[in-house]
Amino acid sequence: MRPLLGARQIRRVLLASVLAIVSAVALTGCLNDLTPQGRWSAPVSDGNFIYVGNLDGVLVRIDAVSHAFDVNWLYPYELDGVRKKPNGLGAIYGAPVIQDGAVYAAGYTCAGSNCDGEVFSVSIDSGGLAWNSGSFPLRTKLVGQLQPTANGLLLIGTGPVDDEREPPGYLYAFSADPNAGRRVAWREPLDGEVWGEVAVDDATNTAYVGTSAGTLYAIDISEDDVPERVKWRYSSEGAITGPVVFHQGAIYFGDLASNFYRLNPKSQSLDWQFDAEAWVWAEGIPDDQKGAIYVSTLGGHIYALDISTGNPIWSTRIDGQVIGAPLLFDRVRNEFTQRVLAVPSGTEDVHVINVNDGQIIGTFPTDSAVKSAPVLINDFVYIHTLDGELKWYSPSDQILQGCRVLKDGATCE
Amino acid sequence: MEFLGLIWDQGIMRPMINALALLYHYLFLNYGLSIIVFTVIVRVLMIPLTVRQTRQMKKLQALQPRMKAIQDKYKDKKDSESRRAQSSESMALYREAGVNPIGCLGPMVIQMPIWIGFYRAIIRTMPTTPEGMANLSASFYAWNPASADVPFSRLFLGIDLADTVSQVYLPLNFVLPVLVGASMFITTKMSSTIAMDERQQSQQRIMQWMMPVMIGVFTYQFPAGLGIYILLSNIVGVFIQYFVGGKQPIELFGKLYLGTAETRAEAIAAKTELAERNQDNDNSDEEETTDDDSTSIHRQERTRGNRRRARNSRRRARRRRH
Repeated sequence: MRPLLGARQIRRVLLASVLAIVSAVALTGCLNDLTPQGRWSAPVSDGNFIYVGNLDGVLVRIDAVSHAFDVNWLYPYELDGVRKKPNGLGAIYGAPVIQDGAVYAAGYTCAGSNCDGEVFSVSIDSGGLAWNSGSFPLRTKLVGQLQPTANGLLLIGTGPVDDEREPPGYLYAFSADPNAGRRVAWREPLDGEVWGEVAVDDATNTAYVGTSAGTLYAIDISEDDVPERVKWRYSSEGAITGPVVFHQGAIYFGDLASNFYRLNPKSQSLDWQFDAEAWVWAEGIPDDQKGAIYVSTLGGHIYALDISTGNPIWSTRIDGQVIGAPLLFDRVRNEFTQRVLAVPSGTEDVHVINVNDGQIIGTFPTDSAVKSAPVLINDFVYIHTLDGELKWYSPSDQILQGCRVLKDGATCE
Repeated sequence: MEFLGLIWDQGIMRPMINALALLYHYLFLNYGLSIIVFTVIVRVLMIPLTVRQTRQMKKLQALQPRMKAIQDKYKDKKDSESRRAQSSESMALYREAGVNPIGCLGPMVIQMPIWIGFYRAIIRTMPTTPEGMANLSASFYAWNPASADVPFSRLFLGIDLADTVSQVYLPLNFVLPVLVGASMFITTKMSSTIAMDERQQSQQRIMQWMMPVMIGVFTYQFPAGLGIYILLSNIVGVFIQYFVGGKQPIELFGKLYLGTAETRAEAIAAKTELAERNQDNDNSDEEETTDDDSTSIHRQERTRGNRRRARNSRRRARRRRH
């Protein structure tokens, strides 16, 4: 009897199978696009330590003076004997918040459409967990930064839960008090995901939050039980993914239809709108001294707009997307003070721009993309780079002063 | 590598993302509709290739008897000289007829990067992470009005197009891979030539089954949007192939479907000719087998006779000793 397959046929079948497997691997390799990476977390400081979310989704800290990495202070972790071993959340995008002797942060990870988010608070002194959202699982994305309010709440917007009965997003209000009877004070359903930071006007007890459906909500945060929490809404032309800013009685935000808006919350109307030519993600930076607001885009444009009219004063462009909020500071050089804007580039470096005329006058060389906001702490500009390093520079001459790998605290090579 | 990446991004991904987004913008902000229209456009653009493939197939079909003659000529010659001669005669035959023996694979080969590009385009146009969203902005052409429509609505007929097929509701999560496999089977069947010998037939049988089963299985883990694209692409491909190929009948499980009276008669004639040829081959094989059998019987008889003679001589020797 003749065998079913000859040696040659077997070879062909094997070859075809190998090709099919290689194609399948090439296709599944694209799944990286579905995993949140984080690394957009800006550092914050209480004067003694600098806190930041690292690339594994672990909140870590370094000494603000010696820059030593504190190996005993981190969250989340698992115990390896008595040693704390990092056990990352996946991704931390927002900057931590320091309040009442604790550091608050949020992170999440996803497997397909199943996401798992956590809001937590770690004691500054003991490094112990003050509280977390473990008892009420947040099966959602937590991209934006936590926003504290004067009445002891922490606000954060969420993404969708993999459940048709749930709305596409919520605004959560957590009670910051560790002794509070209930951790979630309230939550308000929204018409889209929230990826940006919430703005708060404590004077009127109102929070402003933008959604991916292009709606800006004004939400009453005065008490735990309010019959109708939404005060008013405003529909923008595109999705709102960046932070909303409340400054001097006005609301500022950008959208993915390439617009930047200023709203008057009293009349609930548009003061002005500016066409920025590309998606606006980064926070607008108001500058009262110059009477301007600085708006940057994913196309690399930076605009100085007259804050009262929205008319452009100057514009410039850098290479790369601007996602992290630019840093506005006074650069002192040879006893000469110059007001500058440090703009992080999604390609590489942080560019220094003179706010008088928009000229690029220097660069903090990072050797890596930057999607977090640069921060000025104790006379150094700190930059968390996308490759997971924290670098600090002299603000006057942009010279690198030091660098730590945030994964393990090692000195950068 | 960087150069290849650039070509891939600028030559395939960006045009594909922008085309899908533009269709979304003009087709009532419906991503499912934009996938359907995109599929039809891709298949229509590939018609010249399909026509070329069909012509090549027909020419190959016409060459089969002459190819078989060459194979028969070198059937019993296994030395490298003869193999070289056989190969050069075959190539000369292909050259003479203006046929590229692997030319038929063209549309299939071109489809693969389109599928992979489409897979990535679906994921990139419906980002679920902040990084994905930021990356998408870099993919849009400045003039594309659809960039203001982001994030795109992912729902179509109750299916989340970015979810894998396995996450789609029952029974569609199982039906879609089966339909993809079945449509792929028909497509493969339509684009294969009639094999002239048993060896070719068995090879074809393997390929006709293996590809659809594999793609069907993979579809279970593809995004639903890609599954819909492959299914629709196959269905449109069947129609195009049917009309471009001169309305040839489709043979499924021994029965002929569609086709005109003329093409059906041609197909039946070709099948009959093939069957007769195979029958002839089988007869000649049987004769060879019979020859072999008689030879082995002779050999066995000779062995038996030798053994008998040896036994008798041993007996005689023993008697002499006694």
